[in-house]
Amino acid sequence: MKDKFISKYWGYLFLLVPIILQFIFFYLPTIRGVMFSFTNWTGLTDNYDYIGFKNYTAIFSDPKFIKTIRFTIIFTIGMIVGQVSIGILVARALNAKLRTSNFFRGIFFFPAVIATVTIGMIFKQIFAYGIPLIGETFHIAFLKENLLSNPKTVIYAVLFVALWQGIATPTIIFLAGLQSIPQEILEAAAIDGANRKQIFKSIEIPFLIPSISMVFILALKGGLTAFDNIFVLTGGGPNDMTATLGMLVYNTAFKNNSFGYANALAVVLFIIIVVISLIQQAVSKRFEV
Amino acid sequence: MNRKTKWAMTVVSLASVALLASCGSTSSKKTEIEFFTQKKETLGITKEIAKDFEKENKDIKVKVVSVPDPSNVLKTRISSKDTPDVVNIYPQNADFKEWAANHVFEDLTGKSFMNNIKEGVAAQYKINDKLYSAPLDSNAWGFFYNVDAFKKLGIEAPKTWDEFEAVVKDIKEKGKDQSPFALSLAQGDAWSLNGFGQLAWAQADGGFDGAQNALRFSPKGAIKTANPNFQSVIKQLDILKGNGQKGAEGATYNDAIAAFVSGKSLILPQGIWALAAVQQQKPSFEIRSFAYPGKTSEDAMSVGAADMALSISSTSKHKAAAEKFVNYLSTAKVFQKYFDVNGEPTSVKGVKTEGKMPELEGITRLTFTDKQFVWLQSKWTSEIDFHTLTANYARSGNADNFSKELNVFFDSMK
Repeated sequence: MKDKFISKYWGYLFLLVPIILQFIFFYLPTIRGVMFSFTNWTGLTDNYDYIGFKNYTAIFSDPKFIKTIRFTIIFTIGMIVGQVSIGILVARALNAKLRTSNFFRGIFFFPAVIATVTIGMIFKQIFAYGIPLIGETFHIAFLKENLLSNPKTVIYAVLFVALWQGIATPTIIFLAGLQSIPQEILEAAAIDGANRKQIFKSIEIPFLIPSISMVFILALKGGLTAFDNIFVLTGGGPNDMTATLGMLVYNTAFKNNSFGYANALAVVLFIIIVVISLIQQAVSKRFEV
Repeated sequence: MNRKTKWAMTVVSLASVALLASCGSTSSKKTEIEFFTQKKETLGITKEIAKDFEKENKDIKVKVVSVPDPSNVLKTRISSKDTPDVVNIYPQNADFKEWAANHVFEDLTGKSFMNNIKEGVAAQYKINDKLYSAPLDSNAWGFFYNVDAFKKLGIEAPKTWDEFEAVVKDIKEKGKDQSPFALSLAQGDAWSLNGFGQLAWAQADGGFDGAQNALRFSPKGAIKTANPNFQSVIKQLDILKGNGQKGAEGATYNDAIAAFVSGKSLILPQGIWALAAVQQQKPSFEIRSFAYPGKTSEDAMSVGAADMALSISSTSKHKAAAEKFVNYLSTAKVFQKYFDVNGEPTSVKGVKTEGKMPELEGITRLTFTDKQFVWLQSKWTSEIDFHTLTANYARSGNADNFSKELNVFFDSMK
């Protein structure tokens, strides 16, 4: 009896270690974070009081939250649209049967292996010195100044850098999706006289729905939790125009010593991601092939 | 592998283990204390002093620790009950005050080394009538200038605000591709204008108390664009607008230093700590400084606070060794070595300072006088937005937005 029990369940022993690690390093801090969101904890000492929903009610009248959520939404939409559209475009180009395909696949994936902070620092210098020099040389007025310090251009500049690195992984995902389309379907479409536009619309896109769904969630999460890249590029400026929710959480916790409020902000961010992800999954399931 | 080789390897392994064990037992006799410093620019001399201390105290080893983003590292270490034995921490800051009040640090009242510090300096940072910090020197904020370029243009360091405006005008008119100021207005480095912002308010409101009353202790929503003191502040900040180097709006602290060292900008508004960074780049001109000017030459002001200030962890297992180290560092002979490199005005009795740092004297002549006040944020719960809003105004010139957002920032503390 005992032997039977062991032989049936011994495999679960192997799961125990990752489950314990996951619990200690992920679920426990999450639970504690939610708990602290109901306190006035400064993060400096062990002293705190439970203040009910005060932090949550304060969030929605906080002008900083409103400002950051506005930018975060714009940035996230930009990331999703950019990663999906440019990703598919590049993946289709790389899917062409060329001698140099492997070389270009490597080139397009290269930004993904560079640390985001490094990219931020490089582009910061490019925007500060490189682009104004181009503007001066070719007399292009709007390029003469640092695009990161101009309130009219900063969002595009930040988005450009984020997409420069961000489209690498989606491109590979879409490329894998394109290569998984059965050859006979494409051949049948060609025999039936389908043009490239029809093949793209009626075959490639439906087959890419799972990939689009995955890229959507990755871009959504990346956009809503964006931090390191923007922190290095603009520090949230000018005038908090590029401050993201992630940066607001960080500054509230570490600069303003309001860990309780920062946790409440983080919980709101978590809920936003969960809700949008659930909606997105439900929608994309309807269109899957 | 034959038997002989196996035996030889076993003997070698055992010998290595024995050797390592003996190393361990030698070092375990020593008491090791950790000195966490936030002053990376003086790390070299700090390590040298620690080595000298070890030579005199053979039973104590001092591990000098300096990390990037030290204030956040310290926060996380203290919250996880891992406070370093000796900490270089700024006693004017809100976080220190809360830690001290909650006995994270040892009460230093009555310790013999506190007698090495000039009268009244440590008392400025008392918490609940107790001393938790040994402040050995002070930073200060003002303006560095390029003496050679000033001479070429026939101008002198300003002593009053009117002279200051005239100097800026002269540089703009006579300077060849030179800007008056080397600025860093990027939001990430907006802190570098903290001194300018605070001194503008202090000049407008007659000093530290006046500025606190106007900002922190006024009723909610009291900061209004039409207020005479607000008008005075923006008039002062306007001297920066459009007078920075090319690209100042997105420039960082390092960019500003580079603009000053290259001779493209003639005045660097900065804390005195920036001198080390400026000199590292070997400028080809003479540097001097002047304090933030007021209406008359008597009204010049500075702002600053303790910089190399030491506290001892209340949970340290080696308090005696930690106290011995703080005592050693606070003696005139030892701190003289530190001062000769750092140059910040010191509160340690007996350190010879006269004529040693002529570059800083224009500003430091006010330190430890009633013309230098402690950073205003000593009475605020946070400071970051104040920097950002000051830099935003210097960049955009939008006064209504400036007053509105200052209210949002200070109202949360009221």
